[in-house]
Amino acid sequence: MIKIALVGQPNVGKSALINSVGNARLKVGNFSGVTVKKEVVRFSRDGYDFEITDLPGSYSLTDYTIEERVTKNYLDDADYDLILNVVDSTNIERNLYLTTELLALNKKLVVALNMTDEAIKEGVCIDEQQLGKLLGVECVKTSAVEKTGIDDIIHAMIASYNRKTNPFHLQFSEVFEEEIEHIVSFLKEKKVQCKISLKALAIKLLREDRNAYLRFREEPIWIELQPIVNEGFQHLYLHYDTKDLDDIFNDEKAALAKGAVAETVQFKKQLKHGFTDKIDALLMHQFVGLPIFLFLMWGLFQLTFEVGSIPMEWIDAFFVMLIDATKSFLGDSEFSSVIADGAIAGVGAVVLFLPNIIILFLGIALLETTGYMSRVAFLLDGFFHKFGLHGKSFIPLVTGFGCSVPAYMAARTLKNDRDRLLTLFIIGFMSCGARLPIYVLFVGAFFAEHHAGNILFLIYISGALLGILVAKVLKMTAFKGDDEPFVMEMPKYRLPSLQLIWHTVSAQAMMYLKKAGTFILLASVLIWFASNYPKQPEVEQDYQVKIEQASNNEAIQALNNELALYKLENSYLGMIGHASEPFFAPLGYDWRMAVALETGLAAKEVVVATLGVLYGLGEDNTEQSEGLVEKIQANVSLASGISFIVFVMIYLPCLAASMVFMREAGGWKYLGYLFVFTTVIAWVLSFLAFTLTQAIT
Amino acid sequence: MKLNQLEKGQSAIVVIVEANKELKNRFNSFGLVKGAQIYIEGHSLAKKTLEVRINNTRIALRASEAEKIAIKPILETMDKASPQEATNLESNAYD
Repeated sequence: MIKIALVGQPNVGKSALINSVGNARLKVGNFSGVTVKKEVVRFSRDGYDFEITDLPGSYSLTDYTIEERVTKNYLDDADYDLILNVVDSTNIERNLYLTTELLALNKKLVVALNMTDEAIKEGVCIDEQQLGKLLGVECVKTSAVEKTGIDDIIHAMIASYNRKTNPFHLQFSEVFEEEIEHIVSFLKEKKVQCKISLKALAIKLLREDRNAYLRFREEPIWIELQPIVNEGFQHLYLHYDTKDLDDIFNDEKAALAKGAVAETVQFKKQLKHGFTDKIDALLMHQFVGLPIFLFLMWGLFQLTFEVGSIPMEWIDAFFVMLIDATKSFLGDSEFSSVIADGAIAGVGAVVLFLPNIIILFLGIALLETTGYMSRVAFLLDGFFHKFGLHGKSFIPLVTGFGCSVPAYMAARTLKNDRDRLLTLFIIGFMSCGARLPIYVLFVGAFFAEHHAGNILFLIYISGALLGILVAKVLKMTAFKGDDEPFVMEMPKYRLPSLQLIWHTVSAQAMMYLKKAGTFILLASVLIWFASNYPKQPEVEQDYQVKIEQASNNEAIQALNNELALYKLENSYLGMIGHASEPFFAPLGYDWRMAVALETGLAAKEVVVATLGVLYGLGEDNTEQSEGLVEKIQANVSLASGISFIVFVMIYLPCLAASMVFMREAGGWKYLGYLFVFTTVIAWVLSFLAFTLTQAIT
Repeated sequence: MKLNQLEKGQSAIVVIVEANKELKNRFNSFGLVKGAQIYIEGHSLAKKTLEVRINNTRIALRASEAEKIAIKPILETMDKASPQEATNLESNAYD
């Protein structure tokens, strides 16, 4: 098994390259910080087993942010055979900074000169043979997009893996090499044993690497080593006229990279930024930039509702038909009810919103893959800054519109812990994709169709604004402190391939369907049981007698409804609902809505599934089933509906997201805070919404 | 002169970066080092945030960070130079 560490600067196409090499399906986007934790991909080629660990992108091997710490720690401590360094060919000089740092680790290294297709278009010609000789490692031209150089990179990795020796090839300036040599010869005389080569160790000492010092601190050799290293420092200080070791090393790195580029790279065309420049002149304009962004978001929600509602009607009709068909096929039995009213109704209620979800995810995928995301972070930074947030917070926040789980992880790009916690706390205010079905359902039930898209946009925007306001309050109270600097790379605009968009969106859609088929299915059946048990045989008998004695059909129907309602209210679910009713009563919810919110703590999709099951059971079984929207219209008032939307917007995210939140925030304590904090805000604002709507109407 | 005092479309040479170690390292890894040529692509409302370009890298940074970068503007005549001319100059930097 060849274990490979995949390293490169952010946004050079590391994950895309693995997807091409190993047929994997890692997430790909066009901004720095798409991969925030290490991902492992395994595959076999040419009789070898490969295990590639995709590490988060790092500009250099520092521990500036959590994700960069992941990469540095992995490279220092983990067990791997070789490093695959992915380099952006169009930006090679800057990328070689990192390569020189990797060379200093003295591991087996293969360099993939990625984005060859773009480099050719931009007239950047790299002599990879020459560059390889200069760096002492194999360099291969690749293109993850056009899938070229994939075989070559595999062969290069195999060849490098089978090579016995591993010569140290990094050559610093003479002054530097001299000091390194002093330390190395001393370490050699003392026969120091080390996992890495002595030269690499000497470089670490000269870089004031903490771990290298910790290694020696408690050994007697330290007494002798110290003056030698110290003398080295003095020489360097004198030569470079500064006492800043970082400056010295950065100078060395820059000189190395510049030298390598001068010798091996030709720029055949003048650098042009025509395409990106023209678009940026408009999208990043100081006055129209933000309005354009808001307009695009508004358009997305319009589309989500307008276009999404077309197939929705068919899906709704299909499930209503399926429920009726199942009932008539299986007859009137417990089994028939659990299948039709439990499983099918619950799953159907969730599948119903698949079209909306697809459109929303399509929008987010476009935002992520074109390079627009970083621009918006730029535009919003000034505004965000006023509220104590960071421009970079925009990325986790916008990811939160899709799903909170990756959003919590994306917050790792924020360096400062306070900023990160603050962002974590307000990600929940960005309504996730799973809450969309609830909004679509209630908005569809209470507002005219031509307003629906606007209302939807309003819900999302007001959620986001509320989040930002809350951030301000938190920043002034709980998270006081200095601001993190905002320095961020703006990627080039790229037109994502249809394939990439298809992969991203279809993966999300499949995940949604899979959840509907497993978790939601189970939850629906559970909810059905909890709403049908315990049985009330005596009461049923009473009603049976009454029904037989009833004079006309109307009376029978009334008694039937009464019985169904009685059974539901005295079921386990009814008990839970009634128990929590006093808490929710001021907000205008009946016990069914209360239960739906409680089941929503497991997953937000379950809210509509619960409503589907609960309102489905209470209805008269002899008539045709109605659509879910009609049921909501018949059972819920406008004020309660609006209040419900507000509560859903704010309260605790689903179980999975809460667990991730806890991990990222660093303890149960924070989840407790989040629960109290969101519930209180949700309750107060829902109460206001309910009271105000009632007063107006 | 500091970076945040430049106008959109102007170019300059970085004289010194006076930031703390972490920020300096970050600037460094973007190629924003002493002697680098820097070009102002644009700025957001009220010049709160700037977009600059170094070689082929575009970076966004706040005015408060730009203040930590001392620069020397390139030629007075460059003030009103078109972006194209500025890029020409930049590609020469490789020679």
